[in-house]
Amino acid sequence: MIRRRSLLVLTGDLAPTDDNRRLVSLLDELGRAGAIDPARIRVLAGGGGPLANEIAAAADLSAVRVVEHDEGVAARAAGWVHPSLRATGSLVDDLWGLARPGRRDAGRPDLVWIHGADAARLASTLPRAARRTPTAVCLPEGPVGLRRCRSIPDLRRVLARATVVVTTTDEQGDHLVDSLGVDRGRIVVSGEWRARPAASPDPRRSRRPDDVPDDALLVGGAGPIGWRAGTDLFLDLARRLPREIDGRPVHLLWLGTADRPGDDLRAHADVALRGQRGRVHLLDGGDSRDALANGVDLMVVTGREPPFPAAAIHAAGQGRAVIGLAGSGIEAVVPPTDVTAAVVDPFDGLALSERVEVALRDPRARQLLGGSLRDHVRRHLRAEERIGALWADVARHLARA
Amino acid sequence: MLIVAGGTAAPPDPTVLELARLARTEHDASVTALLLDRGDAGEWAEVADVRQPTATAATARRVADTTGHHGRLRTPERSWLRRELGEAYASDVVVAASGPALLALEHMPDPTPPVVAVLPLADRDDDGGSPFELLDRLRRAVLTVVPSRPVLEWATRSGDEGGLGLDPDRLLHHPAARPVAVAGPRVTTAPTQIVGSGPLGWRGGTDLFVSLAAILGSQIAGRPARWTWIGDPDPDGTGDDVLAEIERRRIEDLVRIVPAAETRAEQVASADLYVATARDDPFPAAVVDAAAAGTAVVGFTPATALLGDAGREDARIADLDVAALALRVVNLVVDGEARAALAADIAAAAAAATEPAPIDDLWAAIELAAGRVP
Repeated sequence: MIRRRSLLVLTGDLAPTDDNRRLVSLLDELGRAGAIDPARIRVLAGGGGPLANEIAAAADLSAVRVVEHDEGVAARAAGWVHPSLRATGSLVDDLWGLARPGRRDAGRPDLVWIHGADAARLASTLPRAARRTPTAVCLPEGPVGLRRCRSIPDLRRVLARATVVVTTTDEQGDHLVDSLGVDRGRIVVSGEWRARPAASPDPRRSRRPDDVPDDALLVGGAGPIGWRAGTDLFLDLARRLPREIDGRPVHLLWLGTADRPGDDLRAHADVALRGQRGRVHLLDGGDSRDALANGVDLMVVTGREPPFPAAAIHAAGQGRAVIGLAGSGIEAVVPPTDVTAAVVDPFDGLALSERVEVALRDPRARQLLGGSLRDHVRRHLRAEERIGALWADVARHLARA
Repeated sequence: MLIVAGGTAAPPDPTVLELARLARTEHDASVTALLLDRGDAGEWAEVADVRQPTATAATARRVADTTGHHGRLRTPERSWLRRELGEAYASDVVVAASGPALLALEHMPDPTPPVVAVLPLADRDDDGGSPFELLDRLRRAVLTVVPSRPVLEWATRSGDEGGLGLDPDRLLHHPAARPVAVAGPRVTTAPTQIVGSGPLGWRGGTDLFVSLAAILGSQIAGRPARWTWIGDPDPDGTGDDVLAEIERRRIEDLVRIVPAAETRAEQVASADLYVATARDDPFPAAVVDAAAAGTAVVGFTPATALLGDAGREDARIADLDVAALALRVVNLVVDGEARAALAADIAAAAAAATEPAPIDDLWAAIELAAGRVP
């Protein structure tokens, strides 16, 4: 029997990203399983975002506090005096954010959970007592994502004293060992999981963007808009696909927000430059994201590095066919029998378009592939089992520490 | 007359410099040059009263450019600009001599004098501003001076057709003389030199250049080929994506990235083939350099207005179709005569596009445009 632990969670922001949705799902499942005490969880975020309410509601948390790492008053004031003082101002902001009393005193945490590389900066400003607490660092980012983290020195420091480091794939684990010197014995690989569908609205509900004709074949893609999720490869696919298949127009839908400022504007410009205006739709999705993912005929994953987009896992769980590039993480949702049909060489855009076109022309094949993926995802990617196994690994490391 | 210019890192735009000289000597005008960077004012000091950023503002800007954080680090520069442009109302006309200079005018308080924009014939390696913001500012200018007819056509074309949708009555085509590198004796030994240039990142289309190199590799139809991109990382950060893609594809030995240098013109002039991939610059200076030196040019539609001017639509590839461009490159590498014919056609177009016009005409057009403002 694992005792209910109290948690201090640090995250870069509360934007509705896949990484943060994984955090919500994780806290939700751990709360349900009784592994953590929902009344003794604090979440500190470096920036705000729409997920604040969702986190508080999902896990009955005692405190969700936004430290406002980037927008702090002290940082702004220091920046006005001299740009070089801005970092000191940020530190003051962080300390103030942490010093403010929460709604309820949750006591000293049993575990500090650092979610994402950008949260490492927050960890460096924790009070000394919290820094002595056992720490789990969860890094969903791949090598490029890690390289782009705001403070590599902070990340190195946090990794050096972490009790356990959680990654999504073995390759990410290898990268942490090779590039950041993490002890392999402290790495736990979580794999992907399918978040528990929300009770309401109906998870099977589907809808399409308003400007997509009813009879259109709709190809979906998902992830933060940018190079890492391969939005450019998705747009290249759009250019290669025929405009009509069997008399039905072919449209493409990408669900996600910008990975970095300006990435969305660049993607919109590329839609026009590639002659795909009116045919390719780039949408945030918001609350309708799952419904929009359900509305596609085929989901394509073009990511250059994991994690696998949550919308694609959701679509697979609903029986939609998914085709993706090798190395995008798609291997996790495809049973070995379907690898030939669903996984494509990552550098072969022509092969991807041919595979997608074949699937669009053959509804029966699409249905079979979708059914196979649904069974696989529902059987092997169940959140309660995956997270249960992950938590057991984490608990083992904590006990050893 | 108040002239706002990009900075001292690049040589002054010859058209604006000549205009300032004319204003001061022939029309007895008071000319102030507001440079956005510190450094040796050079020729500006001869034709205008020069104003430059404070040391703090310039340092903060350099830090912002280095770190890629353009938010609060630009505050001292913005304060300086607001202070300097606070007196702009006293000018009869404000001339913005580059894209960044035009963007800087957002700090000019009302009432604003008439603004004339001069888009120089140069790569926008150093601006950091997006074309979307630039377009908004261009729409408010009483006159936009462009250096070539292809740029004029692009600027007047509607947004749906990939243009800027500017009012033709507010645009003036004023060709400017610019130094063009003269190629030395062309070295024709293997390997075939294929070159691209511009800011390293999305705007310059380096990602497309890298994809092209990855498709064709180091041997094109049995002939060795060498791929070189000339340019510094784009301040928008997309250069990191390109470098990561090169690493991911493991083609570090295939594509050589060299920093932008004063010798860029000579480098493109000595290439066998120039590949134009820029997404937001229809008339890159490097294309003119290459064309004028007799290097064949091929590329995507957005960056090859000069090829359109030369009547060589066959060398312009639409929709950023890298596979189609790869086929065209193979044809040109294999067929030396076709390459020479293409080079001759675009060289003629480049010569015509850079034929200078009298500066008095520009002065008259500015007086007319400024006079239209109530």
